[in-house]
Amino acid sequence: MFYCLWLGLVYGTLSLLRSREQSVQLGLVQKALVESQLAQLQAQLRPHFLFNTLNTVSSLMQIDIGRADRVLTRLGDLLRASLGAGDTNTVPLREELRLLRLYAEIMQERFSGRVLMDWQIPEDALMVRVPAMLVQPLLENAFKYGVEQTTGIESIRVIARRDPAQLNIKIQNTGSTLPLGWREGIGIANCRERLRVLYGGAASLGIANDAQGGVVASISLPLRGVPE
Amino acid sequence: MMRAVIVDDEEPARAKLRRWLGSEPDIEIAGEFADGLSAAHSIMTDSPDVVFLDIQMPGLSGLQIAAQLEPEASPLLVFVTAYDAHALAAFDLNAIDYLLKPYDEERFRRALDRVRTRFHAPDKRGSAVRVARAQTGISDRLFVPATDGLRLIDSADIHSLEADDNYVHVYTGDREYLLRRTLRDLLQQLGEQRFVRIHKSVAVNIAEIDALAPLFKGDYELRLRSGKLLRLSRRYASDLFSRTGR
Repeated sequence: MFYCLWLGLVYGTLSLLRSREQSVQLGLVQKALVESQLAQLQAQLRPHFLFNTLNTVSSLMQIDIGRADRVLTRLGDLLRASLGAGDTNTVPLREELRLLRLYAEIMQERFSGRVLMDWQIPEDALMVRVPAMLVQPLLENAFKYGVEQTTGIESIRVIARRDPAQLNIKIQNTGSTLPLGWREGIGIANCRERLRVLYGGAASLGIANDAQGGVVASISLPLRGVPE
Repeated sequence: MMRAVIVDDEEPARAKLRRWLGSEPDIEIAGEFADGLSAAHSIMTDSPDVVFLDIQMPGLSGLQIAAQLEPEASPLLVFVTAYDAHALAAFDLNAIDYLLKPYDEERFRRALDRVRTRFHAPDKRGSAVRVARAQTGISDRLFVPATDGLRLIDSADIHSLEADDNYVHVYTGDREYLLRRTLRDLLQQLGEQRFVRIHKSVAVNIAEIDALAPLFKGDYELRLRSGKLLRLSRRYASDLFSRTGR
């Protein structure tokens, strides 16, 4: 009787230890998950962009409440969109363009008068589905290298063209060229990996110096077999 | 009266500082700059009392500008930054003034009050410069104010540095520059790997040393590749030999 009790106690303790071990392990997995989600969120929020934009609002609201409000609203829309964007879903180009414009308008407010935006988007391209937030990092790069690291007035051009078989998107910026020995960063590699997962080899992404002394990022997506 | 300079590449950010600084009776805004190079030139030639210095900027960052200044003669620096985790830790540790964007008027006034306190008790000015240097590492280039802007000299092109009272003569192959700096501070900024002292008031680029000939009392005559002759004093000889592998 005592023996059984003793045995029970030992087993009980052992299983308690085991379950504690399991819950520790579970906790670790959860922690890793949360950490990776946090890292993702952090990358999406891009702290420099966020805090500098808030500072712009803080400055504008002293002189022009309406303008401050507009920047704040655009920032809100952009944050909402970047929180909602998954890895696989696609959206009509019209929707992606809306976010690109929000971002560009905020940047134009921050770098007042130093950026000329030129959008060349034909009507027939607007409904083509594109991976959500795919073009966004390319536009961010155009600002980061073409505008943020220069002092003159620069221009950024966003061009879409629909062919019978594919949609081509180009982001061109003046003010910077790819340095000698330039290699693609993790952001571009991620974009390309997403294209590979979604379209196999049918889509492409390239970054190169253009003839006008700037940089051009080109995406081309197949029109058939586009995932919903 | 304190002369203040505003440095930020974003107009709204400058406008905010301009508005609040402009309403202070004891402050005169001496300049506004949107990029690092022109800001550095102004700070070095115009010697303002306080600089509100954005960290992220085209060309030269705020930290790189600060690293080029002479610590003891540096204006008071208030770094203004959106997000810079590494630098912030160092600022906190060394009691360096900074403003985090966005900031409200209360935080701005608090920073300004600290500036006023420091302005009237001008000690420990150098710590902001030293922290900036620790963040940016050794300078590969030396900024020399010239009449038409800043001249940037590669530290590898410098043959010798020769102290002269409160100044240092900087000799490159074909030119000579005069900087109001101490030799010790200049060596600290440029790093002591490339340069070696051969005399209390002279340092040379190790790669430029051509020949040594013994003189009396343990001194040597040192010849640079350019043909220039300098004296290596006994006190510094063993250091030089150990570093050049004699």
